[in-house]
Amino acid sequence: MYISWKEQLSLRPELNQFKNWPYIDIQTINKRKRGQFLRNKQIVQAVLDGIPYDIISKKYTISQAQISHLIRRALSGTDEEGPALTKALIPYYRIEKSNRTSQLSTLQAPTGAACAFQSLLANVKGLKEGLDRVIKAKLEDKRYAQNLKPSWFYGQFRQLLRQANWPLDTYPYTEEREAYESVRVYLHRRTDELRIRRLEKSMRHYFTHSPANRLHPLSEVQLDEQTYDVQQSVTLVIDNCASTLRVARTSLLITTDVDTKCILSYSLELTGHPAQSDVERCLKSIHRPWQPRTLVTPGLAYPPIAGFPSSSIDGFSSMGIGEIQMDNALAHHANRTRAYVSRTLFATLNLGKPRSPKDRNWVELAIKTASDLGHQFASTTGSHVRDPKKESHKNRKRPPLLTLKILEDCLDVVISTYNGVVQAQLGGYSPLDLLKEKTSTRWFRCLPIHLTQSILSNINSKRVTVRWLKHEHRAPHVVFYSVRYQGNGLNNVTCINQEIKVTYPENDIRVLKAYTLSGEYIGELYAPKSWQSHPHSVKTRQYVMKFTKKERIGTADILSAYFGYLLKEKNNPSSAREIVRIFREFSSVSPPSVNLSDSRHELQPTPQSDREPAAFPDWTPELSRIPTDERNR
Amino acid sequence: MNSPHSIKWDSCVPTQNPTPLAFRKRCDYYEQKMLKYDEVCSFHSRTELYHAALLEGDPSVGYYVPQPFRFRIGKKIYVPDVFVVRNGRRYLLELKPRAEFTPDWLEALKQYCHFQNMTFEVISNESVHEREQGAINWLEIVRLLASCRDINTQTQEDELWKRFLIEQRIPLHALINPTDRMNDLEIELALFRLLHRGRIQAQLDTQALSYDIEFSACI
Repeated sequence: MYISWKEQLSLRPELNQFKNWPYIDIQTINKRKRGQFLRNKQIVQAVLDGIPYDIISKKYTISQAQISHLIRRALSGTDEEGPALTKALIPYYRIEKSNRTSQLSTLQAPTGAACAFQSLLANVKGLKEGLDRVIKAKLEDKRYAQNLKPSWFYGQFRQLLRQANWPLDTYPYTEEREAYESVRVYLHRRTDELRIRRLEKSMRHYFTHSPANRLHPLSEVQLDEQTYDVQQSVTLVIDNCASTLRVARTSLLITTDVDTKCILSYSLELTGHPAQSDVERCLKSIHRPWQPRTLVTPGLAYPPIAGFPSSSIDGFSSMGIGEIQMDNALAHHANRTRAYVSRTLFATLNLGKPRSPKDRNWVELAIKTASDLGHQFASTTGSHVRDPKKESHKNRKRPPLLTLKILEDCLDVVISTYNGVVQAQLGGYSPLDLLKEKTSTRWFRCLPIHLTQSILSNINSKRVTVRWLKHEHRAPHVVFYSVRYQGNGLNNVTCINQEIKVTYPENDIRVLKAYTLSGEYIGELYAPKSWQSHPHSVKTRQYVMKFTKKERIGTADILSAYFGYLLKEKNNPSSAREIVRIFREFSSVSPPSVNLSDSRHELQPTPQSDREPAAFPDWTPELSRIPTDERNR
Repeated sequence: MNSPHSIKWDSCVPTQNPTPLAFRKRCDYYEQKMLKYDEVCSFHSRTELYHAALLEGDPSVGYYVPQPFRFRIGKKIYVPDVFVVRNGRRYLLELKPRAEFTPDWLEALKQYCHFQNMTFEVISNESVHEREQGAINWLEIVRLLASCRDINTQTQEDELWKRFLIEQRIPLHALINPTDRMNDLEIELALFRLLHRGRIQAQLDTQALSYDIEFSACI
């Protein structure tokens, strides 16, 4: 609805005072127009002050009609757009959008091309929609979209006019150059408009997750994994003959506290693709007291500031976690990971939006810090295939000098030291000190004793059903990870077809302890003899089952057969990596149970015999005197 | 019912529909063990998680079920966000930005739910995020109470309640020792259980959970 200037002043009485009009800095106006602009301002001020028109017209040598026109231009307008006010006082400023009022130019009657393109868009049916459709197809990345070039777009414009049966003696055919320029400008402007509209639509739903809400310690923890960009070697000694093998890349998993940037735990897994058990192990190690390694690398030592919260903060093993943020890897969606987070830790699990690494930026930074160490070694694979830091072809022909143990030592020292280094972004605190300070001053959730014991123990549990296949003349059994377990405790009619709970240590599933669901102990269950030769984990069982199925192998000792197969393929770096993992598992002993009452540990190295397998000796000069057998065995 | 859309549902019993893996990967997915719905709840956005936390903190809400039904509206499947029982009345809620919902479906669902003795409402995400601090506080409380379900604190609750009847306001640091949290865990649990049941109150919408927060009885 159109509002005249007098109606405007009555509706908005504050506009009677020129000081309430919007301010325009005269420096922003073209120099040639400044004088006229100032004069127009004075005229309008005089009108608003109530000075009669004839006095104003004499003073400024301007007709009364021009004064009326100026006031009308500044104060009148539609109620949707409002009055132009101070902008209207700028000479030649266009207040209203230009519209073509005359007929479009024809060959017989050329009238120019001013505003002709806008007129075409408004009057030709389907033209604007057709052009917008073409632009939107490209912005939405449709398969049928084409790259938007002005010349091609002009062709589309002409095609749409042909479809609308536009006469060939009218604009744009009469002024092709001007029409092309209008189409080109329209393409760029409209593409930007539609692109911004799409961005606004996606940003509308964005709520900032305020960092001020992360007041409690461990309120947000991020976990991520990455293949560690360095290959290393191991020395395999068989019958006093040493073979140095190249080992494929390992996987590094790290958990970080978002608020203090403290690395809570890490694990270097001997696999290229971490599984759910690896993720669970990394999460469990947040609360398990960290023990420094027995360093075999000459010259490497832990500085006094090195440490992890689990060993440096009293009562850390009973601190609850708020939210655990991970990406959409399949291992994170696995039932075991989800069950551990929601049913053991009772934390919130967040598997964020796809392709959003910045949502977990702090753990990505921690991984980068650890990766910088890997890129220092000559045997690094670099960040990408064309990375100049990548190991040269010459060095790739032989196993690297860097051994797996040295890498593990260096990583442990680097990551534990990171936690103790003062950072400017933390206000002069180190991550560990900041976490200690928050733990002592802020409220945090405590875990009950039974949950803490469950997290710190190496015992897992699972529910299985007791079956009895009478026609096979076998004893009652349970199926646990594809293998039948039997035991005297199951020879009880009341157990048949009932669910029971079995518990087992993480690294040895040869023997299970069975309980009823009400907690009554039933007895021990044993795997078949073919699986009894070596202690092994669930992950190894699953790998071996897949392998025997694929290779159609059936032997009395499946685990030894699998290990023998790997030894035959030992020159393959992936097989070498698996050999190391299997060997460590086969020769592992149960780690000591943790004393909850004394969760603070001094920086004491653990004894060599508890940790290191004997068949992979540390490097010494004597090793070079052992004859090296580099032929395939 | 005069509606252009025919509506059918798979089951009239509100049970959480499992989220398929493909959708879990596409959305901002959350899982949390809650109290008023005794299962691990799935949420498809942070707003839904916060909303559930606020329901936990509302004593008038008896229970709720996330993703409770599967409606077939015409040829499309629709799963509402949450089913709530509040003061004995049943509500079916949908969370949307600016409470914008397809007008056709809105009318059809309102009629259908009215026929089923339920009220269908659309809630704006903005209204939930205005109470973000309260939601975060309640999430912490829910995590604590869910992890300690097996611990009986009836005696401590009775003693605390008597104390609240005598003293007007009690700060948290007067009830638990910040330097020996494990020893006072049962008192802390009893306190938050009383809060969850609505017998005591605290200003959780305006400040984070801290040792200075004050609790008072609801009389």
